[in-house]
Amino acid sequence: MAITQLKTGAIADDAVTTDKLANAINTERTANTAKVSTTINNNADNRVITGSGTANTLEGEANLTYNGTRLNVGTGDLAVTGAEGGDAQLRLTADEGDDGADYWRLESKASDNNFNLATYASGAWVDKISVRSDGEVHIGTIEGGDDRGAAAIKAVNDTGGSPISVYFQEASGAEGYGVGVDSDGDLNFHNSGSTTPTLEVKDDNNVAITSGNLIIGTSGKGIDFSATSDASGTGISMDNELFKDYEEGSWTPVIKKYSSGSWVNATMTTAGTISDCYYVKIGDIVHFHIGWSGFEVSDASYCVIGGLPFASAGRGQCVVTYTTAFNNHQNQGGHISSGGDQQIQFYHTGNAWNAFNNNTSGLYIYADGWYRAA
Amino acid sequence: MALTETIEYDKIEVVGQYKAVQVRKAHIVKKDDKELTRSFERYVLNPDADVSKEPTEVKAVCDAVWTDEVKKSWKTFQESKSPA
Repeated sequence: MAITQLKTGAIADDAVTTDKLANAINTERTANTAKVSTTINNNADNRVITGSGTANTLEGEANLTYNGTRLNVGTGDLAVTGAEGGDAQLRLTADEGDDGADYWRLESKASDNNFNLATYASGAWVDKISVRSDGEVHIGTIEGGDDRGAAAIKAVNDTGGSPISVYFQEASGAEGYGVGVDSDGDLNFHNSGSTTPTLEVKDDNNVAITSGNLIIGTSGKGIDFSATSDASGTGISMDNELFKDYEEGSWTPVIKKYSSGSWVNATMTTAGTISDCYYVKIGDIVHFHIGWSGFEVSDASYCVIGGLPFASAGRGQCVVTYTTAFNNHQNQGGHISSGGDQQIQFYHTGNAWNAFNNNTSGLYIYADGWYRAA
Repeated sequence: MALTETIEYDKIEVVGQYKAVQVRKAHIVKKDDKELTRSFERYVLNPDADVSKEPTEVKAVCDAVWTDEVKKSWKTFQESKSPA
């Protein structure tokens, strides 16, 4: 009689040996015994587990760890390799990527070998910084592609609407200067937050200073006009084409007298009013004006006015337009003599010395002249 | 907002064979330390000038360049220009 049902509780331990079981059961039992015996070498906390190339053996990577918030490569590098003809990219997404504007992408582009830093905006990736394969660095989208210099920077309008490409700021952050090109093609320099440029290199190659002065900081330097054509003709010699000085100011005329071998100030009974004694020096030429009224002198020996604002290189003239000061020929010219002093000598007919009206009150003289400064 | 006016002898130049000392006296008006205007007054001192009342920096230049030789040379030049 065949046994059709046997309760396991009725079988004593070791009552059935494995050779009495069916072959399929034995095969499965042997396989299951092999699956549970896997070894992890160098296992430690946070180590990423990788394959080893050996059956039933894994490796704990000491230099690749993840602590739950950061994946760390301790030695070596992190490589992203594109497929043949494909780009290699690494994306950084902040804020769980729920607003679309917080995607950044590092990319090695297969088509042109450029390295790009792009952001995602309005449904497309836009390169913000591109390091070209020829070494050029483009910031912003530079029109025209390559050949824009080592670094090409596209202007971005600041809050005032000024197109700024580069902003230079000093160490404390209190001062700065922005530089950019506007839609007219002018290169503009903006002082700090000023929306009006202080200096413009125009698209037509002119330079405009829109605020402030042009300061020549070294004496003897100036504006060189040597590109212009020179005076020509027999006996004409051009000496200099550098415009290196301009100045205006005031000066004080004094009546001189000759005494004991030198020119000294004459005695003024009344100093009078000096109303308009100004000078304008253009290059080496000094233009001056005398406006002096209500004076009285007591002991002028010759007709000489000193006190000119610059030492003279010699030769010059003075034209008297209105005066009561002279003994002879009230309206006549004065002469600025040879270099070394700063006085106007007045002569009249036949080169005879003129003289002041000594001891006469209320004298006045108005005159203009010019001479070359030493 | 304080307005201040100061005087600065901002150029003291020695010019020519007779060492004329050319002085530029700047009148400077400032508002809260920011310069508003600068106007100039000029005069020239020759080697026989009395510089005792000149500011220290002007006098120092005169004393430095007006050697006895320069003074003698200037005197000779002046005498050569005798109007007589």
